[in-house]
Amino acid sequence: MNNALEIDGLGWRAGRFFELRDLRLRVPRGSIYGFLGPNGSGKTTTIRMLMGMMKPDHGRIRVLDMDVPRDMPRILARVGYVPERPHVYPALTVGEQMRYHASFFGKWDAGWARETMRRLELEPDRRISRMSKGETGKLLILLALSQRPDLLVLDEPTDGLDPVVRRDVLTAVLDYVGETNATVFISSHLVHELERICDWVGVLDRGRLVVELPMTQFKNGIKRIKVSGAPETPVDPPFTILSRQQTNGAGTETWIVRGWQDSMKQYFDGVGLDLRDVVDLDLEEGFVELLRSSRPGTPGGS
Amino acid sequence: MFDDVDPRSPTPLYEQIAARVRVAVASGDLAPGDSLPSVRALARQLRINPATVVQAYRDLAGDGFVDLRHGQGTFVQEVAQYVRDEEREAQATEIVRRAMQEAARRGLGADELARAFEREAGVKIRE
Amino acid sequence: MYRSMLFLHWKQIRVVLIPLVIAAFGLPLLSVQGMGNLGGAITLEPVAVLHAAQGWLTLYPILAAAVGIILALSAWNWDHQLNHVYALSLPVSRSRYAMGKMGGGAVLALLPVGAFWVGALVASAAVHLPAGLHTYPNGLTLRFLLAVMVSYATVFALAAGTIRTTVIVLSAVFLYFVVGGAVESYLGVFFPFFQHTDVVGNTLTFLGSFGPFTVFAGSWMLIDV
Repeated sequence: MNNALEIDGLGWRAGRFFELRDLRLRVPRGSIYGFLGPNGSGKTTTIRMLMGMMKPDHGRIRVLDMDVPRDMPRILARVGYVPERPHVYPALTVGEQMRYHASFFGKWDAGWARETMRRLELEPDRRISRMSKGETGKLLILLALSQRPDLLVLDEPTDGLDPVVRRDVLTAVLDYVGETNATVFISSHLVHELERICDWVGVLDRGRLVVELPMTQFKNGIKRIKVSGAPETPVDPPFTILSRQQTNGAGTETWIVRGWQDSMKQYFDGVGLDLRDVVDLDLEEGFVELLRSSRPGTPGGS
Repeated sequence: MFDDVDPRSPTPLYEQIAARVRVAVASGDLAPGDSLPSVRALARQLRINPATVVQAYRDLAGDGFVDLRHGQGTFVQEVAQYVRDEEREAQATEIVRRAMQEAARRGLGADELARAFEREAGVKIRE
Repeated sequence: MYRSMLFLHWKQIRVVLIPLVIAAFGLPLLSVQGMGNLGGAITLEPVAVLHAAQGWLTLYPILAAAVGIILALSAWNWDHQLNHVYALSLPVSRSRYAMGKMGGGAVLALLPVGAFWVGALVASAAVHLPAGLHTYPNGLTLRFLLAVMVSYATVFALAAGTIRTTVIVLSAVFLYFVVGGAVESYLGVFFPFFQHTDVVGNTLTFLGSFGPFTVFAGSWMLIDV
């Protein structure tokens, strides 16, 4: 099995607008895949569909080499899920909720669960309705990991949590991945957090995956370059120009480009342009520029 | 030693980690036989994907800087002097390149940079 | 897994179950008040006894229905609050999950039914009957059990949808029978036509003739010939 998750041609429409259109996605086994996208781009919908909770209009989803929704119970036995909003029963205590969850999963590791519960500073007698957002967040990840899943599906697991709890949650996930080679599919808009831990990134924008690359390739491929003497339409650049802007009156422009490689510096000599500077962008800047350029009305954009 | 790895830098994390080990070996901060932190411990400390640490260690092993002993840990190897010298040279070159880029960005010439370096470092740069 | 689902249902119904159990235990006892042998040799007329027993006729099926309805609603209540997200993420097929829940509720039903049985037995033992009349605690309890199960199963299927739909449907049913009946009698005062209709009563008879629902329409007498 190469891919822990495969999505092809996924489409879904709510009302007049397509929320998902022709979505294609591949999550390699053992990777930590960051699913990025602005709010409303369809991230949670995609996740609900791969979890079998929503039915797409068309498309195919395979999780761990099994079909959604046909093999759903078998799939769910191996998938640890942390939803956007807590899905645990508020009237139960931590201990009761854990025992309930454990009764459904054959691979539940009670010893690990107990030890991790202590490490995360969760008390078994604490009623869930009385817990803070941070404690609930920790409980959700504890439940998902104690199942010993092969795939973790995390929908904004650290959203709204303070930095200390975020660290605890991510450390727990990373520890688990280190031990088990499990795959992680994590959606978040905390881009810097994903930048640390993800080796793949998929960017969703308005229902379509606009980019799906290994993290380093994505980051290295997007650059801000300064060019002098550029014509209206550059001749056949080997990279994709996402946007162009006049930097000063002296004919220097700032280009945001995608698909850059160092060897492309030679292109500028070839067409008689002066390449002034090449600046690296971090994941957040790259992500923002990528999205901005794909909106209509941006110079150089589609 | 690894505290300042920067996830935002375009240099991949595994490269940053490997570079630090190389520098430490070149300068003698890491002696042959010293053990590197375990994959799990380092990933935990830096809060990064353990696979990244594995890749860094594998790269180092490939270059002969460390030996990956399965189950026991990762240990620094004896590295020939010329290799260490090459590494130091490569590191210095990278720093100079970055400085030159930054200078160009600010509109300063290489000769201005050289003069400043001579003043600060107390070292004469050959004409 | 089924044990934990039973535990979950128990936690949801715990508080409401106590008054139900008490009511189930007490109803048979209440129905024989005044018929006990108070040390004297007061023997009651058979007709009077039967007449008194009949007065409780409507309360038994209502209690049975209430127990069933409450069991069914409480089975799904918490899942509805979470939009079923948790239930849908568990590695159980939906039909198995529903069956597990249904079974759990059926087990919990044994508590009020058991209390009813005890109450009926105690009532039967305490009552001092004239010749020719007998008590039927076991028969009555069996009818009670069946009625609980029928109303439970019916509402269970409804409640799996949304609690809102269920409440609307049940409220509509309630309005129809209770308010409808009152409206009918009121209209009968002004319009002679309505004096001869008995829509509510006829509906009940009609419903009561359907398969499992006949259990509601049958004889709910603790004491009979």
